[in-house]
Amino acid sequence: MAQLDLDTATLVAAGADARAAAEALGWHDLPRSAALTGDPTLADALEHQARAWTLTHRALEAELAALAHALRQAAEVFDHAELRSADHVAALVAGAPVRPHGTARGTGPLTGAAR
Amino acid sequence: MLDVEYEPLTGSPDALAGHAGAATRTAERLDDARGRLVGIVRALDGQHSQAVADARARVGDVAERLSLCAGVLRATASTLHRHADRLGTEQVAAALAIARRDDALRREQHWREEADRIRLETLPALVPTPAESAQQHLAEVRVTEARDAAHAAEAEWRRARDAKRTASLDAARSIEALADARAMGRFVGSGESVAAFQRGWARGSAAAGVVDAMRAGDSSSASGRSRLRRAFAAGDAVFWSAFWAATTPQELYQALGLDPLDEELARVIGTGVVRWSTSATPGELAAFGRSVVDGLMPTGIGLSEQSAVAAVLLSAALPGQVHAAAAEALERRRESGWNADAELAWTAPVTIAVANGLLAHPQAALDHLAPADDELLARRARLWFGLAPPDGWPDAGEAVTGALAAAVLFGSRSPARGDQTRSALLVAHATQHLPGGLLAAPGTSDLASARVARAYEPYVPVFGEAVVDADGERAEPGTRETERRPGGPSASQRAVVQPDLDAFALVDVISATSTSEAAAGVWLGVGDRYHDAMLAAGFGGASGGESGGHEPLDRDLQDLLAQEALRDVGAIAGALQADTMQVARERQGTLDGAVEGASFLAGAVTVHAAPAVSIGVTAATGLVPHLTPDHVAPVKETVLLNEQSLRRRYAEAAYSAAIAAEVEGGMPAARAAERRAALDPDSAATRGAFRQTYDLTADLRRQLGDNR
Repeated sequence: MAQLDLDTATLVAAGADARAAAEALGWHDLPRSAALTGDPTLADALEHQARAWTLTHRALEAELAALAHALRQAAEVFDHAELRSADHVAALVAGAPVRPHGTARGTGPLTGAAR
Repeated sequence: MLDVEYEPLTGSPDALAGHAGAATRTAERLDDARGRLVGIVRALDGQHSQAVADARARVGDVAERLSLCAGVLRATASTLHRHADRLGTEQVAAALAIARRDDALRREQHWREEADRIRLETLPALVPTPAESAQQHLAEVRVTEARDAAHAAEAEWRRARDAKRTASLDAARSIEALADARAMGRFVGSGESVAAFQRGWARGSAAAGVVDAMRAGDSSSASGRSRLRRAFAAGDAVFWSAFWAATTPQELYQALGLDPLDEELARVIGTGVVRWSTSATPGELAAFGRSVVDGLMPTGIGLSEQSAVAAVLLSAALPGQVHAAAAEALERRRESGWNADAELAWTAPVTIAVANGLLAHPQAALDHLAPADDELLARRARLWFGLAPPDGWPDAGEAVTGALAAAVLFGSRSPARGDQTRSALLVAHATQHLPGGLLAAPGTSDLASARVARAYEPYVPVFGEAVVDADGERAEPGTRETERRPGGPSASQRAVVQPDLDAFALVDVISATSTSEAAAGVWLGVGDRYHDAMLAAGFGGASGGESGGHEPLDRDLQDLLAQEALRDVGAIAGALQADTMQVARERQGTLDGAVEGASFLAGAVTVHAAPAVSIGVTAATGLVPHLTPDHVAPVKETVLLNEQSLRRRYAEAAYSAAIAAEVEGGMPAARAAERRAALDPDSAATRGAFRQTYDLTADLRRQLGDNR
């Protein structure tokens, strides 16, 4: 049986960090007024940059939120010994539909389910 | 500009620093998340399953995007921090200057009032005492000192404002470099840092500034070129993205002026455009190709020089979209130009560069020269093959004929019926335009002739029919689908769709492209390959053709096939220039090797950027010996002598193959020769088949040749 060098705490922490990153991106803003920058050219450049990266940020934000959810699910799997196969956990992380199979163990300590 | 004279400088360093701090914290969050995700990717290492691979790919992708966004945020924060510091410094300097000015103005006012008071007090006495005079003088000196101090403070305020402006523009440039998310994604994805991206972008923007200065006359042509040469030589893809984001080809033409490009500058520009293309989208590539041509001046002094620069910008190593778009723009110019001959001559380097680009991209050549719209195809065939500068193309027609050959060889070999149809229709139209256009101009080289011959090679199967069916009227360009019977006479044809060729124009094309023994030899090679393939189809591969695995046909079909092949090659042979034939036959074997197959096209195009003057000097040119053009001497005896030797040349192969097949089947040789007498090179049937087309095209050639 394939074993993973992962534990519940790692998955929980990764999920939390991903969610925090998504939220940080959501809050992120740049100064775009000439009153703040002191110069309209610089304000325009910042506005242009913000527009250029908006799509990338929004897409990454959504992907981070989805990945955070997937990591939390994967962490929960570690609470159920009969579901701890590498494929099962990986499938959850990859976001694919999961059909439980196998009973491989994680090699790391189990520190509790993600909440 | 928001700043008002001698008021505090606008802007909030604290707010900027606050935003910079927030961006840094966001970047740290992203880095934290990335670190965790990288840990998960590592934990998945060593596991082998599709699910694990998918998970690793997903997490790895998110980690990379986090890294990119964090890098951009950190770079933004760094720029904002730096700008906040400089803004704060200049605001303080400006505030001090304002305070000094206010103080000086107050002192000036005070001493001016003091001087007025003393003057009023001493007025009744008519003559002031020495003490009063001294006081008056002192007050006036103080006024002057105060005014000078005010002026100095004002100068200091303006210096601070200008420094702030410079800092703002520096910051803006730095931020603008971060705005091309796609280019940066590619750059950072290849392992480079965001900071390196910013540096490359800054260098590209600075080079664009040199172009602006040269256009405005602020930089001399020589020093500007020298600076550009150095900057271009060190430019990477980011540099060129920044440069072309800020500069149009037209602006580059204007900056470079009338002096010819030196070889080194041409080289670095050409190399740079290719580097830029590696990170450009298809839309950007097409827009660039259009702008290279549209940016040329309409006409007049300087157009030739601009065309030379444009040719460098259209390196054959660029993707085909660039050349297709440039070709379209070139066609628009030709259709709207007021002086067609001058336009063709002055923009010749562009035409050659575009055609070389199409030659290097056969599919783009087919798609552009032979679009699905028949009317458009006809128009493009006229514009590309029906026109040439009065003195001929500077490259002797090699690029344009190369584009034709590339398009046709790609289309005729394509399994898609649509491609074959477009290719055949292109040749049908080109046949009508070439004799009075490109081939009528002086100086067509052997390589150009060879390329024309190769463009017709897939269509030799209809040569005989076109000549026999010619009824004196010009045939309209069209196509036809040939029947492909297993093992039958058409089995050797790759191109199922064939053109309807006008026999008069076809003979003219062959005649005009066989004026030296080298060129005539290529046409003989075209005939030989076709004939060999037909025999392979009929006699079971003895001749080594592509249909080598087929079962032999029955005798009647073999006879029919041999005669059909003779009729087709007879059409070529008759159209060739007679007095070049003897030498052509002797040298044809050598030449065939030089222009055979894909290497003929691939080896012939100059794919690296080169000065416009050298475009067209190709590797393949060196393979075809330079020979004096033939002077037409249509001596009947020569024609007849050639007929006999050429007929035997082709017919003997079929006759030998047939006898060999019979002997192999157990028939005695003498009996076999008798049995296959119809294929004897001197038999009435064989002579009739060959001369049916040979005599007609030989006559047509003489008639058309005499008219020239």
